[in-house]
Amino acid sequence: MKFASGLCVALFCSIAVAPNVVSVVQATEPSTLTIYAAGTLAVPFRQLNALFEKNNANVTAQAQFGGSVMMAKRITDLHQDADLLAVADYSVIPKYMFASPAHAAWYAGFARNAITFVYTDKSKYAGEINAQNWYKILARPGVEIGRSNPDTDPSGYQTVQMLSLAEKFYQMPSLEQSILANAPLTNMRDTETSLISALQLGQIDYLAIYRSDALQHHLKSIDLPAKINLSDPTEAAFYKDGVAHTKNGDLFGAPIVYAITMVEGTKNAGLAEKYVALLLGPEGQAIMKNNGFGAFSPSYAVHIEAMPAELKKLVKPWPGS
Amino acid sequence: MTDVTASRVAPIKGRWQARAAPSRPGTLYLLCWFCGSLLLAFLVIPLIALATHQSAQNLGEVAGIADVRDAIALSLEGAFLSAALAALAGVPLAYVLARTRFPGKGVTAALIDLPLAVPHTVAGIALLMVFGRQGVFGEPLQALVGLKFWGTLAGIVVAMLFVSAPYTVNAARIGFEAVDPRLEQIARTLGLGPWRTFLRITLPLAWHSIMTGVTLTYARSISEFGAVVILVYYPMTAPVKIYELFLRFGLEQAAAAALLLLIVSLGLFVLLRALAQRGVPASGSR
Repeated sequence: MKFASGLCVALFCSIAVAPNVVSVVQATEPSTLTIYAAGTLAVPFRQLNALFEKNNANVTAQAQFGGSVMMAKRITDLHQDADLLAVADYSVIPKYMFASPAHAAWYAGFARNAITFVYTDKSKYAGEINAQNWYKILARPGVEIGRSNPDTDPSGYQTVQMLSLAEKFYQMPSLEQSILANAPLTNMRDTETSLISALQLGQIDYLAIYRSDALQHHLKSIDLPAKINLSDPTEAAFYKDGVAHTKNGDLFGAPIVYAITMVEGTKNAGLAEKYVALLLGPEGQAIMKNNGFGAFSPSYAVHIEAMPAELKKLVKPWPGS
Repeated sequence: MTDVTASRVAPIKGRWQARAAPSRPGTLYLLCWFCGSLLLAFLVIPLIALATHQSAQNLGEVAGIADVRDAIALSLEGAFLSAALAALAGVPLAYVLARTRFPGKGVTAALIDLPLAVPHTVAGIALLMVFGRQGVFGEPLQALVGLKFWGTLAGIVVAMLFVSAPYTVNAARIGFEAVDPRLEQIARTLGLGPWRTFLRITLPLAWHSIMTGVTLTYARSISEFGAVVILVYYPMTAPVKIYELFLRFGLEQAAAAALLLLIVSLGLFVLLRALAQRGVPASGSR
């Protein structure tokens, strides 16, 4: 009897409530914004997503993280539905997303990063290493250095470019070769963050990684000079001299600038635009800065003419484009 | 005594008789076929999609890449060693579990299943803790015999073995449990020693189950990516190579290499299944 009356109440309530539910749904349809982003962006973008969901009721911001090229190819080759693509190397967007058929028309730089080496107390020569002698210590026999694959991952070729620049900066012709001798193929992965466990377990002593990851994982890092660590867009001309020979040809150094673009033809264009505005605005830039990235004010963009009007206001032309 | 023997031996003969008998198109069979073909379609259609996605030319090109051939060969080699080790250590373990009682037996059996539930990346990290440069096994093994698990075949094998050994142990255990202990007792009373009883009675009767388990271990080893890649990225096994091809060139090349791996694997599985059907080669009856 009790059960039956309970059931009646429940039925009544659901009938009474149902029309309201429908009207709410019609007012603001729940939608999901899908963001494909470089693995290094996982921490700041989760914070940004939380902020975005707070600002926009009934919206879920879902980010998926992976290697930049991988995420771009999931859109171009696997035809997966994403609204936004954020990559660790801005050149990935023109290379993959602008190619015919075009999946994007513009991109905006929203953060900077730097290459560094992280280590732990257990690392060989951890007590000695500093920003002045690092290149001599990393070349010592028996030091194990981890890095990501230069054939598939930006941080992989950026590490090689940085070493090539260091060779010129310190005027030591054998520097790159002697350090890479301690970073054999066995110490390589598709993305350097998957080597953090190996670093913490003492399998490797040093790991080439982005400064943002060093900060987020609370790892000790070497503060490499801005002239070689690829963090400074005004050094772009010098960075070009750093070259990485990869299976995809020779790749020349460039400042590490993270870029975002909207995927063409997305149903969520309005939301995607809002998301980019939040990222390029002061709140978004503060989140990036708190996570070890270099911020922009204002951001640089390429093909500004193709951007939505609201976003045009937030950017200036990319230097040299 | 003779009654028991007869009744226990009969099912083995019976199996062959049932197979030889013409199958009657009863409702049971029809229903089984219907349900079964749904699953079969579910399993086979994605593979057909993969196979028809590319031309024979594509397949030929990928087969021509030395890196790809090396990666497939390395996967087969690692999986073979992993399956061999699983058989060498897993079959005795299964026999002990099937034939003896000891405190903590339930926990032991559950522990054997545990690797199947551990995310493979976590399995890889756990193995690195133990077999790494500073691990409890890794450090002494490198110092004493120069055996390294980081970026070596040994690393590939331990990663494969960890995630795939439970299949051999479980299948072999079920096989041993299905052998009536009284059969072994009769063999003993007829004068066979414990070793010959095991080799001539128990092992042949459990052979089919053991080989099924070893085949599963072999298959699971070939496909393993997550645990292997923590320890060994270079030299690349086939799954790692396929992933790298996808990152560098896109779907076409990666799918072609995957198909090549599937074709090679399919051939091996047919061979292993045939071996399992034939019966134990070392039964001593020849």
